Amino acid sequence: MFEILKKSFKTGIVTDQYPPAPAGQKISVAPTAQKKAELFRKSLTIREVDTGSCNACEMEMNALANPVYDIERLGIHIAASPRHADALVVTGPVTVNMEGPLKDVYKTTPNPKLVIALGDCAINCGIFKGSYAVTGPVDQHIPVDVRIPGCPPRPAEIIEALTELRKGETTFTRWFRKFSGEP
Amino acid sequence: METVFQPVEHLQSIFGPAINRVSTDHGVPVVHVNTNQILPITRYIHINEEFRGTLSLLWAVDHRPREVRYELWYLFTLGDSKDWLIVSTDLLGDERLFESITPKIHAANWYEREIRDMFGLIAQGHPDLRRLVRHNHWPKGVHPLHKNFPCNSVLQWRQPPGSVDGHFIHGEGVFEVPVGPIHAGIIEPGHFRFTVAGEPIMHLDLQHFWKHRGVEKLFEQQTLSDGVVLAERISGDTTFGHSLTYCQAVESLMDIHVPRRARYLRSLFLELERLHNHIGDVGGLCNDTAYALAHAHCSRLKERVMQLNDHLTGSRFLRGVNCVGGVGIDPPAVQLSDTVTELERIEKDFSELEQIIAVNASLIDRFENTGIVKKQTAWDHGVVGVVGRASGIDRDLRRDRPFAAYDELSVRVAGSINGDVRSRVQVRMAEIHESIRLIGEIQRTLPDGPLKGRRQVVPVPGAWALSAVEGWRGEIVCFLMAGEHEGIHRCKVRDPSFVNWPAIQLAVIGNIIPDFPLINKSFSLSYAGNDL
Ligand code: SF4
Repeated sequence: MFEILKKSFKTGIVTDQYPPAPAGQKISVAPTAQKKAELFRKSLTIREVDTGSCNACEMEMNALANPVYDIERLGIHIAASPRHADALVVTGPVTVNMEGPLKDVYKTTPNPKLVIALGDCAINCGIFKGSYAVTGPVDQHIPVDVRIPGCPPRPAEIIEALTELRKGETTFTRWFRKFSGEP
Repeated sequence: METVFQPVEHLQSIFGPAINRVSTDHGVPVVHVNTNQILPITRYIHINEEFRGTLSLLWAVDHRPREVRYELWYLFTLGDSKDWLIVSTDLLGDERLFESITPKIHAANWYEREIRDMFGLIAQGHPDLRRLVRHNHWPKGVHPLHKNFPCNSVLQWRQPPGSVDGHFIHGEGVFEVPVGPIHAGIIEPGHFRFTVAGEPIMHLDLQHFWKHRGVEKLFEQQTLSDGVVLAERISGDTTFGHSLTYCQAVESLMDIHVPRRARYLRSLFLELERLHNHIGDVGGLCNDTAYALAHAHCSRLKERVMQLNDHLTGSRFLRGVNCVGGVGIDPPAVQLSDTVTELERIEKDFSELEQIIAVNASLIDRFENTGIVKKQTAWDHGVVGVVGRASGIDRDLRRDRPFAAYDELSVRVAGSINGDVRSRVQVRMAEIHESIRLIGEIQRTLPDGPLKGRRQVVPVPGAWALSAVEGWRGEIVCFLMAGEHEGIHRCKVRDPSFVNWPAIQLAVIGNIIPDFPLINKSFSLSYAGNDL
């Protein structure tokens, strides 16, 4: 017990100690997505679905939960079931075998929901384009709201994209401002 | 040369008339035999005391359009010498049947099912000829690696027929627990079907290949030098290992001499990859026992190594580092010594953590005697890598078949004998320290010189090469056959996961389902590398 405490004190706080995302490709957020995301500005629960990635995109998603990036501090949680999710993050091209499960997951996720295509594969099949087993990018099967390019995108870039998406006022703050008489 | 040929002579003395011809390519002896003799010969290699061969790879090649024949290749790694021996046989014309070796050599199980799915060649006498790669909804007669099958004819997803063909146990009080393909964590898709009676698992049925992306067919659309990019994306966490295996195969085809500095750097990057994955896995295991604190520390350390990768090469996954002939990145000396200093700090940090983990009673209680793979089981199924070493299979390609700069570095191979989750954790921890030591040694002895070798020959169609690398998971093997215009005729890649997955089915028997995540994590296998 003492050792654990000692270790934790020695380590200190590591959150937010990461290099900034390099200014690279711009993420694309559909205007309708910004509107849809309004509901989730304070808290967003995501569910990751892998439809055939090489696993690097997923590892970066996993990295988001480590103490350095710690996306929980931004109000973003990772759900274990699509039924608890506000947003689906899809990685990888859609393989012929995962097409069915992807559609099922989409159906089970409650409305309103966001779909985020993460990584080049999810956006345009990447290097796996033209294979007999790849039926197409994600938006061929389910509507996609946000695209985060990269192979794989760095965690910092993912965070930036998610923050970008949730910028602005929520309905509540707007309402609050109106009633408190603030300008 | 003598040691290489001795086993061949031995085989010739026993199976003389069955052996058509013998050749040696890149130092690997190939014994070409009659199709009807394949079972006795492979079995002999497998069980004879002098050979003790484990099946390391089994694959088929469609020689069309140049010749109308299929060829089956059986790669054995011999017990003591760790030398390779290939047995091959032809299926001429429209011959579709060959004798299955699975009843005698368990390790061939998935390979033969895979060959059936991909080529339409049927292993007769195979005990379990269910579909492996092709899911039930794939139309009949689709064999993607057949040369007549065009790569761009995209399959259509159809509602799969109702029943699942699995191997199930029926009886009173026996029930099934299906899991997946989409799991609760951020993890790849795979379907597991447990049969349990009360708590203990009686049987586990795996259904994989959800992520099958047709990688081997995609390779056939590439040229030899362009394939690296695809090789890097076979399994994201083994980016460097896979690209290295591929590059080495191309290099032996083109007879490229890789300069010493490049070989040293390759070893360095390979160790970096091993490091971040192993640290991550130790953390993942702690997480699966609900020890969140240790997990947090491990993922923090892993992140540090990944940032180090990024700093050194511009990619957190070491992408774009390897190229045919050498490496494309030359870190300056200052950066390398900084890396080593940082790694020493990480090691100190990790050692402290290790001590905390080592005395945690509840952790040990979960780890010990969970998911045991006995040495004999591991040997029968040809289990490789960390899992094999934890079960007492003393094999490590870095020592046994040195590649990159490992012939000049001495690797201390970690091992254990119990074969349970704890052994696998111990092997991982030992390898973490060893990797850091090796990187230090490489930094001190890194020679100067060019980074890339020049090609000597243009490979003729039909020329082939085999290469193997000890990735962080285990042995990655790649068979590469050149095609017309420097294209690829056939590229067979085998991730260690492909051989270790079937072993999980045996490791879980008698354990309870809540321990399954733990066992699964301790194997830490790739789905992408397996499904290809
Ligand atoms: S985008 Fe790149 S990293 Fe992501 S799944 Fe595709 S190949 Fe892998």
